Amino acid sequence: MTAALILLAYAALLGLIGPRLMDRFRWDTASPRLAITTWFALAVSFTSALVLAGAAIVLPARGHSGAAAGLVHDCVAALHELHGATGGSIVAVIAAALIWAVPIGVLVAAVSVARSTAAERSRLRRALANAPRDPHLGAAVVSSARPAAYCIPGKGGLIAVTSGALALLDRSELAAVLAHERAHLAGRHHLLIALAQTGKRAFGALPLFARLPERIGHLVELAADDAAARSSTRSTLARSLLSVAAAQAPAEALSAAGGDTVARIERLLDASPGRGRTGIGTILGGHAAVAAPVLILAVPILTAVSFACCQV
Amino acid sequence: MPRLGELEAAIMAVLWSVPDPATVRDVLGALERDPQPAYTTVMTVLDNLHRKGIVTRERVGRAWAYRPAQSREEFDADAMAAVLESSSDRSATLLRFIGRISPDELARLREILAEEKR
Repeated sequence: MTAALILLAYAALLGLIGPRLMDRFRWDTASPRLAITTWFALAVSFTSALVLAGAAIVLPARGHSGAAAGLVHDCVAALHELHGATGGSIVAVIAAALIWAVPIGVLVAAVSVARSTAAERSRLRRALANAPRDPHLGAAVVSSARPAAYCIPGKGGLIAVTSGALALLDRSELAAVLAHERAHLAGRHHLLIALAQTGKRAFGALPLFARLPERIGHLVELAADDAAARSSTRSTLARSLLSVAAAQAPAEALSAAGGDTVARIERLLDASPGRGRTGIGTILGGHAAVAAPVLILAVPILTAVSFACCQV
Repeated sequence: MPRLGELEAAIMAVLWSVPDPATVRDVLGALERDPQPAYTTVMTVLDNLHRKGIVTRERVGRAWAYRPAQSREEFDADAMAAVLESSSDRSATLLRFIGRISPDELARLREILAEEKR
C-alpha cells in the first residue's frame, strides 16, 4: 500500500507542478528536441506511475495460482482481509481503475485523435488536389495573394506554398522556408503533436496535459527552425519569417493567446550563428541534461520494483 | 469562401462553360442531369449563388442573366486557400510556417523589421 501511495503522490506531483518546473528551466530555446523528450518523459512517467500504483495495491494479494476469474476473486478477498469489507471494495475498485481504465482511456483518446486527424487530412488533400505541383520546389503552389507555407503530413507528406509567398521571398529565403517544412515532415512532427493531443484528451484536466499540444507545437517549430538554419543561415530564415509574418492580416481573436512568431524570430536573431544560447542545458552540459528524461522515466519503475522486492 | 453543393457545382460548371451570361432557362437547357431539376429549383440555387457573391446578374428582358463572379481557376484557388486558412495553426494535420498573428505581435514585428533595415 505504501508503494501505491508514493506512486500516486509522485503522479500528482508531476501532473500538477511538472509544467511549472519545466518552465523554470528555460532549456526549450537551447534545445527544443531535449525539451520535447523531457515533456513526453513526464507524460509517460505520470501514466506508468498510475498503472504501477494500481499494481502495487493488488501486489500483496498475490501468490495465488489458477484461472483469471479465481485470481480476481482471491485478490478481492485478500483486499477485504487487509482493508475491511467496505475499504477493501473501494481499494479494489481504485486498483482496477488504475490498472485498466488508465491504459484503456489513453487508447480511446489515441483512436479518436487518429480518426479526426485522418478525416481532416483527407479534406485538405482533396482541396489541394488541383493545385499545380512545382517539381523544383517540391511543393504544391496555391494561388493566393496571402504569403503562407504549410505542410500536410502523411503519405510521404505534401508541402504547399502560396503564390503570394513566391512573390514575396527571394530564392534563399524560399529555400529556408521549404527546409523548415521538410524538417517537419522528416522529423514526423505531426506524430508528436498527435501524441500530445492524445495526452490532453485523456488527462486534459491536469496542468501537465492541459496545454501539451500547444507546447509541443511550439517546440517542433523551434526544432524545424534549427534544422532549416543548418542548411540555410539563421538570419535568412529570420528574414523570411519576418517578411511572411509582417504580411499577415492580424487575427483579433488571437490577441489573448498570442502566437509564437515573434519569439521564434528573436531567438533566430539573438543566437550566435550555429551555436545555441547558453541556457541551463549547455551549462549543465548536454550529457547531464539528457539524463533528465531518463531519470523521470525511471522513478516510478524503480519505486515499484524496490517495493515489490522488499514486500511492504 | 463557401463550398459548393453538388447542384451548385453543376450549375457553376455550366456558367463557366458558356461565354455569355445565362438565364435560368439557358442553364436548365445546358444542365445534363437525370432527373432534370425543376425550373424553380435552378432559380433558387442561382439566387443563392448570387447572394453568396459567387455569381453576378443583370436584367435581360424580364429574366435575370447570371455570370460567374470569378474565373474557375480563381474560384478553385480561393476555395483551396480557404480550406487551408480554416485549419488550426498547428495540428497533427497541418503545420503552418507562421501561426496567426495578433495585432500586438504585428506591431512588434514591424519594430524588428525597422531595426533590421537600419
